[in-house]
Amino acid sequence: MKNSFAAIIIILILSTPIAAQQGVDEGEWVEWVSDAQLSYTAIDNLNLSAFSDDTHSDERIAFNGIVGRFYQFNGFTRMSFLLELDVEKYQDFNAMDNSQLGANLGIRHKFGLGFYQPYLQFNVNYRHKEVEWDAQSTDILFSTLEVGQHINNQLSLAASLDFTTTNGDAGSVIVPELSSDVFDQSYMHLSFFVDYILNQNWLLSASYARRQGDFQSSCSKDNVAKVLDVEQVKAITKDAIFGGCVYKLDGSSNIYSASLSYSLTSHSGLNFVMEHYQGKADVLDYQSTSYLLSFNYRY
Amino acid sequence: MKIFQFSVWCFISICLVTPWLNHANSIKVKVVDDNKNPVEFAVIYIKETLPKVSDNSVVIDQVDKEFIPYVTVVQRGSAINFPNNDEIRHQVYSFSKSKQFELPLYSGNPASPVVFDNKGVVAMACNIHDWMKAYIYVVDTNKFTISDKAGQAMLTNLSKGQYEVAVWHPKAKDNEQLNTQQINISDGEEELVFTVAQKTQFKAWRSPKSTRRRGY
Repeated sequence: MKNSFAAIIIILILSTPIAAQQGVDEGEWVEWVSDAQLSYTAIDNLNLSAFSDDTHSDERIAFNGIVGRFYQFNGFTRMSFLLELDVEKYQDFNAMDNSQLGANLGIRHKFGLGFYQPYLQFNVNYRHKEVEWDAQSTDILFSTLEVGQHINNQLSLAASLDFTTTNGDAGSVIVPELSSDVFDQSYMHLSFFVDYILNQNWLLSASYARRQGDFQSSCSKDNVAKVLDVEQVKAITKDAIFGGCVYKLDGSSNIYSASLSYSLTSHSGLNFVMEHYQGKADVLDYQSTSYLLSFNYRY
Repeated sequence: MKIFQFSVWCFISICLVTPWLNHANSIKVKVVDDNKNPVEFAVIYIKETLPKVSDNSVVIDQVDKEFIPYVTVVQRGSAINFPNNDEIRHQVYSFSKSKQFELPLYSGNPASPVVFDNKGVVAMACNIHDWMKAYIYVVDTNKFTISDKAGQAMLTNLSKGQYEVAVWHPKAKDNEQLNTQQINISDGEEELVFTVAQKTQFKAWRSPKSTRRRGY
């Protein structure tokens, strides 16, 4: 699957100059991108524990900033090059405070002239996440392939496939026969998106993602034995944030998301996003819900 | 002799002034929706066929990734210029029956204006920025106007006589059946009120969404 995805990406990259040559004009750098998001998020089961007596909730405020520019090859194909900065600050679990600096390259191709023409978009993103608890600092590489289309004036559909790999330092070894590289993970999402314009000020969005691959969970020392007993734990180490252990599993998850956007102006809006994560490894269930309220500005 | 000269002077003056007086009539139009709220961007025109009056000043601009104005009315045969005053490029197109055209990706001023030879509605858009939409309404007459934010407009320089006044709006619920009224102009200013039932019309979403899904 990964090889197919890599092949599609290579084809896309190689085909972009060909697409550019088909245009009636030479490509050039066009509009700047400058986005800012200020958000508040309440997270239930922040540590994604499988045990109800072991969950922790918290709230965070975050700033996300994006600057970059589009390169327009022709009327149908454009490339974006973006630099991204994210800063997250938690209310209680300050050891999770983090900042992320990343770069994103995107190529978007629209299959013809007109509102209803579908598009194909490829993104590759690299970022470094620096976490207050240094052991969780990681380098993150993800790539996405998305296809989408306006169905009518109100309804848009999209689907995407993305792969992510994270690379962090190994923690201290606490179970000799198990690895401690909890923060080296790879996973993929197959996602479906629906956008429905309620009126010119309100947008309703929903998405479903099937996540497959590594994820991490934390639990207290009391529950470690139960986890090791029933789950195929891939790696485990001490958890300086929640006090117990943090471990890596291979599993599948369903991620449901619904959001409501309110347009303040053509350059700014308010967004409310609710997301429910429902994961499963071998035996245990891992569930978490978050509620995000954001103010977004786009230059 | 002086009486003769004075008579000639009076005759010539009357000949010159009478047509002007005859055209000094106007119709004040108010356009409202079902709830009596003013309707902006309604095209109001006299239903008649008149020879084309040259007008090269029609412009539909592109500013901050929007077409300005949202609605334009022109007489059949008119040419419209589409300058791009954004510092980026736009690709303007229309698939409408009345006029199909495409201005491939450009910035600044396109090489030549677009001529609109057929009457009817021309819905246009930008292929790069899906939310950019505007309408051109092509009519047979040169007696037309567009309502302002207060829903008001004036048809001026009308001769005395019987007229059929029509209203079109891009958001009208029934654009197949033109909203028309008959009016007899005698002297001065007449008033007409049109009620145009509105339907909700949607443009592609432009405001920023949560950065969880950025869409670049």
